[in-house]
Amino acid sequence: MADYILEMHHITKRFPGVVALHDVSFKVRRGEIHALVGENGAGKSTLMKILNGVYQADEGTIVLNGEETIIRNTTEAKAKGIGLVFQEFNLVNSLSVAENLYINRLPKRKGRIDWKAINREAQEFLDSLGFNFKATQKIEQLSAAQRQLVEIAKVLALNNSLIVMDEPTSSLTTTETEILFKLIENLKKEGISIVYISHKLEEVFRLADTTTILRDGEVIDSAPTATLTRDKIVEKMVGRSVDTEYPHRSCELGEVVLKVDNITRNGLIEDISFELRRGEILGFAGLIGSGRTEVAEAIFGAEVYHEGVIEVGGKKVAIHSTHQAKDEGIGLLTEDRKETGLVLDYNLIWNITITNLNKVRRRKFISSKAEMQLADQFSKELNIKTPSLKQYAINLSGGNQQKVVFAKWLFSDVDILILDEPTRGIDVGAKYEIYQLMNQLAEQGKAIIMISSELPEVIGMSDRLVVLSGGKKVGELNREEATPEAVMSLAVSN
Amino acid sequence: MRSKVSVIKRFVNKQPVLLLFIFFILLMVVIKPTFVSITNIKNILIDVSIYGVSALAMTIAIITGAFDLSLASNFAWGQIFFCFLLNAWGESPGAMLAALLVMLLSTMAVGVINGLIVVVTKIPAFIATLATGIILKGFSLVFTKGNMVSTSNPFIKQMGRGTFLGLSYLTYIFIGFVALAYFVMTYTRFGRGLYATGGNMKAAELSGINVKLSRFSIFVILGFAAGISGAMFVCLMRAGSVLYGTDLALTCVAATVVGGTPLTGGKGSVLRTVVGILLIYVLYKGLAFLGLQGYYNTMIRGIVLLTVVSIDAFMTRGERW
Repeated sequence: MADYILEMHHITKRFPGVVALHDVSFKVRRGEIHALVGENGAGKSTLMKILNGVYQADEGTIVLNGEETIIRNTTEAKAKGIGLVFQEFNLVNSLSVAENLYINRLPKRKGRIDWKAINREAQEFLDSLGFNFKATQKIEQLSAAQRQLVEIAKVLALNNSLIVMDEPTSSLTTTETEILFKLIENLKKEGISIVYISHKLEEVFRLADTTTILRDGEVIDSAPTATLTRDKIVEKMVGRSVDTEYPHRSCELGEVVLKVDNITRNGLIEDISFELRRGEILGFAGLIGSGRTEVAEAIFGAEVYHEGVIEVGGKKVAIHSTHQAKDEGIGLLTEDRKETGLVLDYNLIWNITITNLNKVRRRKFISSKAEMQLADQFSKELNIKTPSLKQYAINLSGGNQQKVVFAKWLFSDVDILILDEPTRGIDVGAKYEIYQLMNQLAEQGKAIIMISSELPEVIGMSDRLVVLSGGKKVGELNREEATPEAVMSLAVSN
Repeated sequence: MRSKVSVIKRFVNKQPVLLLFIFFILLMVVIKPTFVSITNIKNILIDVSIYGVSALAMTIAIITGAFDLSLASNFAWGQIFFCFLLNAWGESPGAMLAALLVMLLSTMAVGVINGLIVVVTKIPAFIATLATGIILKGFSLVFTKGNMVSTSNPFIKQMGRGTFLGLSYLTYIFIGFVALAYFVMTYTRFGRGLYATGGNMKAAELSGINVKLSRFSIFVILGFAAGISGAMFVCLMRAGSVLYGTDLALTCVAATVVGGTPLTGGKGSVLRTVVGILLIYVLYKGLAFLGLQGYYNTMIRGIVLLTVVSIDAFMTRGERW
């Protein structure tokens, strides 16, 4: 048996106008967890797509189990024992978990599908993995986190010898992340090799034996994780040294701009009250499902609230719709930029100007010239990397898409910005830019609510923290009180 | 020189429908030069104009992600009610104007009902307008006892027959509405809101666009367009009947699709639909001109639709769909 289960030698991949991978060599030992890190666009996905047969390398060879091999398509990859867990879900929402697990190989008895056997086997399998949902549940009834676990179960059911996981925890809560980590460690014990792609370096240090860092399509370093430090990895990823992870900000807090009193949405949130000041970043911490997004939706008029009072600038307002909220100076960056933040097949210009078309009107009518100029100005200010403003939003990387969503809300000139998971799924460099931007906005006198599942981030960025649990506000912490331990113990208190 | 070649190439790639249209006209010029006579062009354009106004509205609806199957019934109701009011109220200019306005209010009221059903009850537009269309057709039958209603109003006759620079007045009305529709969709916040609503309703709403208003108003626009088309039709036929224009809704969808506006919403343009409906009618009339009998016509329409859409899909490599 060869030492290495996978060796990719001198892989080069060119796309029109860009070299995505240049002479990349990547080796995974049998039974190790190998982290692959790098900024968005560094080439991680391209490399994994070559491994999965989605793309063919222009140069270079792939050696599996000591044998040189060619992978022409995803079916061949599967046949060779390579399993992939993607961020995007490939599940049929109207079918049950069991059906999704067995979709290609439904066992039959007497010519008919043996539903009993399927459901029983599937349930046993889920239990053995430690997943706490029923095999007979429909996918559409599951949370995003549970769906991710189904996606993982689907791959595990195939007895692969090499499993690639691309950001598997991006939609998981802490509890489920723990379950997944135990699972990964068990897989490792069974001798299965895992390529683990993640932006979260804590996970890399927790899990990975070896870490390979990609930047701009080249391998910058590949070393045992034990020999690396967090700062070293970040520096290698972004190609410059990053002093502090959360940029410092010092500014005066102004008057109260938003006052929320006992907001209740039946069955979702109960009696939530808080105040937000000009120039402040107020963090909303809590587990997924604790009601953070539900509060944001109520304030922004996206969903109705049944009781409670909202005051903007000292004035009571009744917000029934999103356009009303916008008129009151409230904006919401949703947690899902692809589904609800952007119109993916519109260009950047239309995506940016949509929140405030008044600004691009000349003599009452939309001027495409004015639109172009303003969109250009905002995209430059936010350092959005795109070949052209006419580019469709769908073609941008996650970090750049997120900047477009920011641009669109800056364009709207609202004073109160609610940011729901503003850095989800984007790389370290883009994250830092977004932190800086948030600080700038606060300094300019905007008031910001930041919802985040990443504890260090929400603690590092916020002046004050509101902690939610089970739809209720369970605590409010100032900067000094907000330690990870304090926040976590509140978050699980209800 | 390269730029010139690439311009042509881009044109072929991006505007296959327009190209097909030009090609067919040239073909007809060669085979049957009389096809491009002033009278024939004028007549084709009259048909295009009457349905065209509704087709513009249907295109806007499809861009917004909506659909209206009651359009044909509303169109027929417009004709019937317009004739009825003209007969009842006499021939003074004031009476005729009042008849037009009241009729338009009635067709727009149908739109209001459609809009309310779709926005408030969240019943899909397809089903809601299918039902209201049937109800309205039944109502028209009750109202007319199944008979045709005619009018001998001289002004209306003049509107239908009169020409300016060789083209029917009706064609100028259509051109006016094309300009209006293009302007609204391109240069107003309202139009942009419609595009955004069709492109991603959730994202549009969460950008502070009033999507309820967008989705409601589109049905009122459709009602208005059905009324205008109905009035134009009355000018031409000086009569109204439930039996006239039953193919309106689907012809409008065909014109939209042939023009190249995808049914998925959020994209497309009313100008494309003008090309679409022109092509459809030129092909219909051209084939009739070449001696195909009337009964074949309906069959030909289907074949034309499928052919044009296939050619378009092939030329744009399916990117439009």
